[in-house]
Amino acid sequence: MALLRPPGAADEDLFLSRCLHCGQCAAVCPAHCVRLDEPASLLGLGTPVVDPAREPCILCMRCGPACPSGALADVPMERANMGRAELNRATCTQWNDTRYCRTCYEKCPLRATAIVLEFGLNPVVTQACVGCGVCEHVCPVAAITTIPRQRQAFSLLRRLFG
Amino acid sequence: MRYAPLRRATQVLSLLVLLVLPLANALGFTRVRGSLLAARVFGLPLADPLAAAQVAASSFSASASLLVGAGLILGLAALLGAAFCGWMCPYGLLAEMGLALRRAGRVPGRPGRNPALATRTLLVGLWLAAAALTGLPPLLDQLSLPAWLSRFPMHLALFAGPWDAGLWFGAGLVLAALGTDLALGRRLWCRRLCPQAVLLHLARRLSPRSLRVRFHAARCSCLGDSPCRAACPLDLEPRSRSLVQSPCTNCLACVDRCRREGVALAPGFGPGPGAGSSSGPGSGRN
Repeated sequence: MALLRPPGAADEDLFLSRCLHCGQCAAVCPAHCVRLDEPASLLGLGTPVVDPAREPCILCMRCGPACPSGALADVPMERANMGRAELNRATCTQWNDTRYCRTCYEKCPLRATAIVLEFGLNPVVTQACVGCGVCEHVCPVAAITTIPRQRQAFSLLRRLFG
Repeated sequence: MRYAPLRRATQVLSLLVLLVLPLANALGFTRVRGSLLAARVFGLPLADPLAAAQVAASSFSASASLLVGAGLILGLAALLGAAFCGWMCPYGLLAEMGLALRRAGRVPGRPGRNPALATRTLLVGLWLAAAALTGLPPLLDQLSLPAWLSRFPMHLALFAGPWDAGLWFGAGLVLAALGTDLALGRRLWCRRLCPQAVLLHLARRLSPRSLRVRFHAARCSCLGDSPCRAACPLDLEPRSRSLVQSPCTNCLACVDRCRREGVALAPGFGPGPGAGSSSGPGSGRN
């Protein structure tokens, strides 16, 4: 169960110093995927996260403009930069030849860009994937995990000494 | 006119809006949204000045929304003082109702002495300096009782599920503050601790024409304890010149209760004529 930041989130230290946990991102989210009650860290109590297993982000990109402090930037969906999906080819029924399936490809919001079909059959995640988590949510055999991107964490030493 | 019914109506209406708003958001109405830390009302941004100050200090940046939102609130505070505390704050309403229920009655503060704001202002200033140095998140927001009271309904309406550590901390903080107020018989959080009020009071102090309660000593006929002091929800002494430096929220309860109503005590913008005249009979000399 990966915990992602909403699309357009700044690096973690800048994000934490800007997020007011006002809840406007959660209020405007039509998919109800942004939650304020699953802290990613102690300093991040009350800050928004997305749990794709519960509700994936559908990349409607309404949260960025709603954020008053700039913790979430207003970016297009291709630059949501939440993370990357990782497909387990041993579990995927298309890859291990047990059942024909292209659900992830069909449901991907970045259609035919973030997930492509190798030889028109087997799904492959590309560099264009932003880690929204829809594929993880819809995969019938839970073969996909969304890995949150590496986020520069808050460090007092780095802030004081550069 | 009597200010008390209008004030109570404003407090109750504010609480109702806080309770209902997240539900409206969950059902798709998002033109009004947010908490008491940052909100958007039909496109107009509003922001808690202390929250905005912390973000500006920590991240060396301030978005247009925060600047406009905090500026609006500070502008209102320059005009009306910390009227938010007395007229809208949900914690203020809870504390007043709690103290009204307290069977042993309210415990008045020491006569003639009003708590000052200097220590609190200094501590908030130190925290802002620390935030600028370290880039820490706006942690004073986690000590905002009105913010917590506006976040609980949000969590209930938008996120179903067990509470996380943060919410339990917030609930504990609110209950501890209420419990302390009830045990002491006096409002401790609002009188001495609330960080959010610091910038509101500062805006009021720096504005020469801000709303305040004016005391006309020559018209006061009360000796010793008076109805105006008994009426104050924060147990302040309205007849003292230190009122304008105290956490007075311009709730105008003392004005309502002054026996010659609107004469010895009256609200006004700025110090008014005859400011600085010597204290009259019964004005906090004991």
